[in-house]
Formats: sequence, C-alpha cells, structure tokens
Amino acid sequence: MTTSLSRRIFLALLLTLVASPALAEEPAQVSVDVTIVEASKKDGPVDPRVKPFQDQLDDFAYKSFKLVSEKRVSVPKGGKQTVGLPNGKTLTVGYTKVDKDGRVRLRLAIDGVVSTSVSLAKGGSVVLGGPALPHGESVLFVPVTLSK
Amino acid sequence: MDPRNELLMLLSAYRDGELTPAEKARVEQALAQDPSLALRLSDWNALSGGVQATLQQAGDGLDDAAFLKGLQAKLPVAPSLSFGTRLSIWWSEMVQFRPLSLASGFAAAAVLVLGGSYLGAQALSGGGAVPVAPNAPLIAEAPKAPPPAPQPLGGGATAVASRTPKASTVREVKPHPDHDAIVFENHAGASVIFLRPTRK
Repeated sequence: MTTSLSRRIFLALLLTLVASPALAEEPAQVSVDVTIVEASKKDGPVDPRVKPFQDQLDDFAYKSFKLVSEKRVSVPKGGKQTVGLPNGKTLTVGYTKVDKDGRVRLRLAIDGVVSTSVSLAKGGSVVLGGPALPHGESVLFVPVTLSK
Repeated sequence: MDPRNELLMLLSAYRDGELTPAEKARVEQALAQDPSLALRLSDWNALSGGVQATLQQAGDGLDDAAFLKGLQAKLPVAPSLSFGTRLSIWWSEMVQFRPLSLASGFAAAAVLVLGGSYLGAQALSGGGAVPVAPNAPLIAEAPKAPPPAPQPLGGGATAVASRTPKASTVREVKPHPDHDAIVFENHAGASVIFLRPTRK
C-alpha cells in the first residue's frame, strides 16, 4: 500500500513538472493591429473611426484625422510581417520573444526611417508618428497594438 | 522467621543504614551481646570495601579511548550512500511516516507552479501586468492612469474591437541617420515615437 501511494505521488509530481513548462510556453504567433492614420494641421473633419485613438493623438497640434487603413497581422515567433504605408515605405513587424514580465517583444521598422524594439502587453500600444507624406503638411500616425 | 535469621537480616539492613531507631537499638544490643554477630558485620564490611576498591581500581585502569577505538574497529563499516540511494531512502521514509507532510508539500509546489503559470498568462493578457522600469534610453512607460473602457470602432469598422492603450515600453530606437526620433508617453499612457527628417 505504501508502495502504491508512493508511486501515485511520484507520478503526480512528474506530471506537474512536465505540464508546467507547457503552460508557460511562449505563443507561437501573436496578432498585431496596425492602424494608419493621416493627420493634418489644417482644419478638417475628424474621422469617427479614429476616435479610439483620439486620446493618443490629442497631444499633437493636428486638427484633422483620417483613418487610412487598419490591418491585423499574425506574426510567428522569430518571423515578421510587412504593412505598406501611404508614403511608399513599409512597416515591418517582427515578433522576437516574450519578456519575463509576460509582455511581447516586437521589433518595428520603417525602411529608411527608424528601427525600434518595444515590449507590449496585450492591448498595449506604441504609436509611430511623423513619417512625412509626399504631399506636404500631412503626417502619418501608426498605432501598433498587440491584439488581445 | 527464625530469630537468628531475622537478626541477620536486620544486621544487613543496619549496615546499609536502613533501620528504624528501635530496630537499630535492637541490633546494637545484639552486637554487644553476641561477638559472632559483630564478626559477621566486620566480614561484610571488609568484603564490601574490597569489592568496591577492586571495581574502582579496574575502572581507573580502563583506557576509554583505546576501548572505544577497539570497539569501533570491530564494528562493520557503513557503506557510503549515493545521492540516489539517499533520495530513495528519504522518499520511502516520507511516504511511510509522513505522507500528509509530503502531500501538503506537493500540493504547495503544484499551487506555486500552476499559479506562476497562471500569473504569467495573466501578464501576457494584460491583466495585472506592471511595466518594469526599462534600462534603455529613450523610454516611455505606460500606463499610469486606469485605461479607458474599450471602445468599438465607428463606421462599420471590422478589424479591431478594442484600442485600449496599455502597458508599453520602448526599449530601443535607432532612427535612420537622416531622421530624428523623440520618444515620450502621451497623456493616454501610450508610448509615442515621433520621427521627423533631420534639419540640415
């Protein structure tokens, strides 16, 4: 009976140890929402679809906003996805790893403009702003959000 | 009991100091009247003292260290146990004598492991994640204020249902040589990397 109990406890302990790494495993891919907003300092309408980002854009002296596009990309770990920008450049989204605090490390790059590494919790955003558009005074704001 | 035997018993007790005053007086009276009893008592005292002296002498002459060393030399040498064997013995003893302690310890370990995994999953989902202060320059931390409630996109938007700005950290920024980068945290708690062409 003692042997039987011993075996059961040992097996339970073994199963727990085997299962725990699986629970803590990093996701194989993450979903990232890339939204492209065109902003201008000229008076003009504010696209109602930009409303969710209004808080993030209010700090700038821009008066009109237009939602150009929004796209959700699935990025595999170690891989990357690209999103075309209206200024002819490309935003690259790479999924590097999951940090110890559980946030996802992404590498964002716009060719010829910037390369950056950010950590995002689910629902967390980083805004890439200012890549100039060819036609003058408008600029782009690109909120990048780790999908929930 | 024969009075003679009874007197001998009392004499023995008298030598050991175990008599009542009345019995002691009786024995001393008998000793005074019967020289053979006095002789018997003298012999007993001599025999007892001799035995005690012999034992004391024997004890004084005993070399404890040598004795113990010799004793240990005769004992079988315990084999050195491997870690696995010791672990096995510990496990058997725990299961046999302290199964409840073992079970509670195992349960606590399971709670820690599963709880840690759960918290990790919660952090990944944004539930309770607290941003760690980054070491890299050009850092913006978020959030410091409670995030606003999720808002659906208007105008029949399809892709994203929630844009709640949450924890974000800019760890590294490498602007292209012909661009400058400004990193800050906006009032909504989101990290912003603002880029502009370098003025020549």
